[in-house]
Amino acid sequence: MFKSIQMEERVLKSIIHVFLISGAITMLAPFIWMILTSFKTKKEALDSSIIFPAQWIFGNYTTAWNSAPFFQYFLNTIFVALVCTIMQLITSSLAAYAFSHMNFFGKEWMFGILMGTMMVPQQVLLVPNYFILKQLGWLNTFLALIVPWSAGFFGIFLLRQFFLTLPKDLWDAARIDGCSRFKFFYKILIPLSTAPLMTIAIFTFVGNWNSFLWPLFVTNDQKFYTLQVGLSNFSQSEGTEWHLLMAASTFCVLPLIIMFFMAQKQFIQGIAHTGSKE
Amino acid sequence: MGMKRTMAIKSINKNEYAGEKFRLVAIVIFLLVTLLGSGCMCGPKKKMPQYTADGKLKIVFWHSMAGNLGKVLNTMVDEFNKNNKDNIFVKTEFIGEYAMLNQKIAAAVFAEIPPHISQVYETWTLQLKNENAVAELDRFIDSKEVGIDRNDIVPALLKNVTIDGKIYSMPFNKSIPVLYYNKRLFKMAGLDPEKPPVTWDQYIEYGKKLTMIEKKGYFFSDYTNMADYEKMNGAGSFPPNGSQNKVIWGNAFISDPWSFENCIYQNGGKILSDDGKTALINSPEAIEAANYVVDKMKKHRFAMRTSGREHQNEFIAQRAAMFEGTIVSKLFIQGYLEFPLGVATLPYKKINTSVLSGTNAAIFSCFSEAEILASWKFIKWFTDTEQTARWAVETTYMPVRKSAYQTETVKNTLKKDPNMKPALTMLESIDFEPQVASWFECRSILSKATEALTLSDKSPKEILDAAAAEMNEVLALEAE
Amino acid sequence: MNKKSFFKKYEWSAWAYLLPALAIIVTFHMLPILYSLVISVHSGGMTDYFKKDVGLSNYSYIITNKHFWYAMWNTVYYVVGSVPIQIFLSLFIAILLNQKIKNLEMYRVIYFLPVITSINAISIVWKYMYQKTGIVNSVLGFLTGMPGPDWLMDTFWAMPAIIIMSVWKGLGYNVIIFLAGLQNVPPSLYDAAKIDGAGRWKTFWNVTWPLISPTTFFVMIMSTISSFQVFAQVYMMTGGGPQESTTVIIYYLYQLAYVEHKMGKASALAFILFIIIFGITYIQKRVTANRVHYN
Repeated sequence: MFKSIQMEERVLKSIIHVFLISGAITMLAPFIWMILTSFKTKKEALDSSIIFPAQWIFGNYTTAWNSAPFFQYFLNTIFVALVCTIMQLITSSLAAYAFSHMNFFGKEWMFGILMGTMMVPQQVLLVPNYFILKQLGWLNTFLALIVPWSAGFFGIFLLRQFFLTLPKDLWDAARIDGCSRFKFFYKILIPLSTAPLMTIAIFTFVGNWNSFLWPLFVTNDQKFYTLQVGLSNFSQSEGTEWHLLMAASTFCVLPLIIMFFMAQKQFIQGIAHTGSKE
Repeated sequence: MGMKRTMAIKSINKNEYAGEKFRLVAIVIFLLVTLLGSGCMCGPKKKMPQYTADGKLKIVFWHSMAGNLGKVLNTMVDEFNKNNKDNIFVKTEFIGEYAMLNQKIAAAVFAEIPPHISQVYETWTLQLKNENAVAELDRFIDSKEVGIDRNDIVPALLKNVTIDGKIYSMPFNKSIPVLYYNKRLFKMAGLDPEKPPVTWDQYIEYGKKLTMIEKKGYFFSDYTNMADYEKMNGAGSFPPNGSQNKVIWGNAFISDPWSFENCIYQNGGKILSDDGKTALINSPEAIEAANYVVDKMKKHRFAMRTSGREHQNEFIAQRAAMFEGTIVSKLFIQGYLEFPLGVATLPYKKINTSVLSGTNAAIFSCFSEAEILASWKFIKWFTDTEQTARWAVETTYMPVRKSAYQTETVKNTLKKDPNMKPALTMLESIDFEPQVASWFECRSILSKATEALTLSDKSPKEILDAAAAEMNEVLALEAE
Repeated sequence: MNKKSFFKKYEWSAWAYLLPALAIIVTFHMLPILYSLVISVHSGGMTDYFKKDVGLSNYSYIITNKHFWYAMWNTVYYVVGSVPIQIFLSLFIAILLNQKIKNLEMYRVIYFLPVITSINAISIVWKYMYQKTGIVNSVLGFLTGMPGPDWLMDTFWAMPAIIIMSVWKGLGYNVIIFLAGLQNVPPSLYDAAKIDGAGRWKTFWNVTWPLISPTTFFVMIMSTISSFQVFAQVYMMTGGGPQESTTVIIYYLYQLAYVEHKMGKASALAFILFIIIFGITYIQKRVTANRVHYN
């Protein structure tokens, strides 16, 4: 009986591995195909029976890169994503602090209403926002790309949750020692909150980096285009030049993938964190 | 998530507590005010003309010319920028496909930041004119200094850009539908490769002859056409549409409203009444045209239905002897062919007419007079005899000027490449899609009806009656 | 006396902390909803959204419009097609990963890769793979010997094609969440079940499943809401076609606003959608509040 349990365990473990590996291959396959195709010639790209390119044509990357101001697109994307992230961290932590540590008029229903905003799809807001942005005169400027996404309920929610888990007497002790609200906030609360702050930073940065419809419409000049808009534009101009499109797609997804590899733990922990709190 | 960290609390002067609070509020308010304030300063620039680094007046031109078309356009624009004596610099911007261009124009007009010039379809021009967004061009056309000869513009094109007697755009890149055919397969079927079908009846006749199936001979494969095959094997035995046997089809087609429109006009029918208020796509002429489209596949069985760009690919692979498409496709496919290509105008029934596609160029009116004039000068140059001839020869778009047909450029090209004949010869008759404001919706209804013709089992009359009813509803709404 | 304590009771400096976030959220996330309402009762042109007051006719246009219902149907098809499959697959994978296997981290990273990739770029890749002569059909032909359809041009297969791609993309995210939920189940309960002689399936059904129910319902709610809002894939891969078969509700909204320039009608639709999403979330929360097991 001992032997059969061990065998059963081993068989089970191998079945598990088979499933996991096939799943992993399915996850990776499109990426591998994308990269392989990015080195092919146009004809090779159109024939899916050809797996490996006869020659590894690095020129596809330079051609694609030079066909559109991708460097500008990169700069724009990084700039916008970075500023949005920093702004979100600031606005969310300030507001979360108020929600968690202060008692003010209308606290409960305000929180509820803010929660409601999370559910509205971005596209629904686009038309009226376009109108609002026009009134402000922000259309076709970086302001339209950055300011509307410099605050969000997600960050407030997460940080409020976190702040509430901290011991109540922390603030009381600090207050007795003469610490002001603000000093407590930035000298004590913030340093303790690196985990949720990191989560918010990651979500905001990635979300902003991958944002498409909003930048597409609030900016008209090519000089403001983000990577996603530029890539979509490129895909329309080179419709069936798949080898070039795959090269462009590769260098568009690479930066985030590299960032992901470098900060894996934080990424994954951050997501697990959001899931376990309802 | 719990945390276990120790921390130190500094002792702070109690008096700072109150000051801190106000300081915080002040900082926050200051930030917000500067943010909003700078926004107001960065607002839409008052329409000041822009200049390049070397003092040239900058004109922005939005277009949808992808791939090689874009390259030709940019080469020509570069020449204009180098050689023009008015210090004008035209900057082209590829915006995306036409659908995207449409959206961006609307968004830009709303935000009051349109380009100087843009490619526009007739319906867009109509909408833009209703918003007073585009400049009226008659005063330029008829001006002594910068005018052009109205009589030299191809009349149908001129009529096409006229709204209520005034002109709001200039023809820019108009394309015609053509029939591409495989000369080698023509020979194989016993047809004269220099004589493509001219009438609908010929098209059907040739199509049937060109539909062949491989019959293995002793030393090489032989092909037998559908009629002979069925004589041997019984009526209806020819492999059905789309089967994988070694079959060559007379024609491969995609369900395309443009193609159907051509058939309607060629049969003397119309899509909408002249006043644009009633749909006529269920008129007897239109139903006849629909039957012609359907019969090719269902009754005469020489046309294979495909989707996307497959009809083109089947043609390239020599599995289809003919296909219909825009003349512009010639540029894209000629490099891939391993057989002699033939290009002809579409076969017709009653009227030898072609429905043009493609766009015009419009100038937006919210700019200074100098910029509008500069924009006009560019368009004038581009549509001038020599340039329009060159554009036509390199892209197959139609020359805008009658005189262009007489230039050496055109004549030489015709000699070198007889397949350019449909592109570079004055057409007998030209028609256009209706120019009502709600044409987009109507076209989409027509597109679905065209699909249904070959996809569903309903009769053409049923399909077109329903489509006409839907179109009438849309047109009625527009009238409100 | 009352006035004084009212002011004393609340900390008014809190508003300074709230102001930055509030200003932005109110202006760009809440005000638009109200504006949407205002625009929706007007009909206008390209430059002026408020040309004419048309009362509720935009709403009746939407509700009586067959394209609206067709888009709703497509969206429901998409949600029903993708959410259950996603939940099942991600839970399955998470369970596998929870079995004390080697290389857990490597698997987590690989499964998560599609999630952080930009939807635009990866849509282009999938569009390429779904070509009639593309790799998907090659693999299909290799495995089953059958020729594949022209996925994105086929009225029957276009939506399934998009569903497959979306499940592929979103899987890793839910795997991580489920994994966290599974890891929160105290191992002592598994030991107790073992002692009681419970087999694997029984253990799962009586121990694991109830304990991860908060996670499961969280995933269900989040997946439903986000799949209801699908847009980018449709935009990049099929443009709503062929023959409207992939026109989901947000794509229909996009068409109304940006292709047909019917801002009034688009805003009416936007508002209707807002109500629907609100309703779905509310119902889901009420239903699951009774079903979730907390230990």
